[in-house]
Amino acid sequence: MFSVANTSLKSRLFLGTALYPSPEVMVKAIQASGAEVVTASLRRQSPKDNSGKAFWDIVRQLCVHVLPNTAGCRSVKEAVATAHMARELFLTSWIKLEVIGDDYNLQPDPFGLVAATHQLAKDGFEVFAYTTDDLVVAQRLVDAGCRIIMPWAAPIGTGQGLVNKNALKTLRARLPDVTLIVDAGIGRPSDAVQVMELGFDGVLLNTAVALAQDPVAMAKAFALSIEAGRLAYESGIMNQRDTAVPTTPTVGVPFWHQ
Amino acid sequence: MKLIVNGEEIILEGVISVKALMERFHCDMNATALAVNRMFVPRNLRDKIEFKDGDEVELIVPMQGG
Repeated sequence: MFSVANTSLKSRLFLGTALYPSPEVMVKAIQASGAEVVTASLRRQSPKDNSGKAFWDIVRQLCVHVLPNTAGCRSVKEAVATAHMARELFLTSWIKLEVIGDDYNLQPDPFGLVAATHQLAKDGFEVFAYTTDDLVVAQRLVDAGCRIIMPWAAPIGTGQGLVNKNALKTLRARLPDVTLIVDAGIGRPSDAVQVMELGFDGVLLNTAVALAQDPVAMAKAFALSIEAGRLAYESGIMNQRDTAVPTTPTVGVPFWHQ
Repeated sequence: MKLIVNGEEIILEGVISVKALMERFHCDMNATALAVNRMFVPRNLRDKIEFKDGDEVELIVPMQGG
């Protein structure tokens, strides 16, 4: 069990709800993953269909915690308004805060992110800040009242894995008391293992499961990988060495002469 | 009166309430959030809103997301 925002959770995998081949596959993938937190978004009502209500009905039946996002917001004003709308609709003060600074790589705008965090923390939100792997930005977010920092491994949806592992190591070392959850860019379960071996508290991913050839099996694979990575971290991983050190005893080697 | 609702212009004869506008767009009142001119309008204040010409209105619902 671990605690995020005063909530006890068994699973350190947070799963997105987008891009699945069907709502049925989404449900099965979430169930196979054991994830207790799923992300959702807010979009414009379409008079032509009722897919928003249908989606919300499905998610409610899963009995999971919903983490709404402010995906697509490009300004503090938009992000704050979206967060307030999310709180009213989803009945949670949790918000995955995204303030996007670049349309091409969807990189967070650090200035907007920190300003929006200040405002939302004052308004009583629990901010899960989607950010880059920049230490100073992360520290400013913490100073602004954020308890959960979510640095990217790589740009959203790229599946590139840990592009800057050293930066993630630095975040863990310099922010030991902050909840750190890698969000974005994860492509395969071995990426998630690496994140957890670094001592991160969890992983949030979506595309890597939803676009797998078998999303349900992949969701299970990620669940196991996150568990394995966490267990490895808690077990104390050996230090890497520069030269070989024999594992078999060297005393009594046959045919050996001084 | 002209309103921009979810990015599209609509022309209305006379005034319209938030409730009437949401009904026109087939909104579930409890599953739709409202913003006017990029400011969130809580549910309990919807009946206080008087739309002005050119107001931007967002009718927002839950959706899949990562």
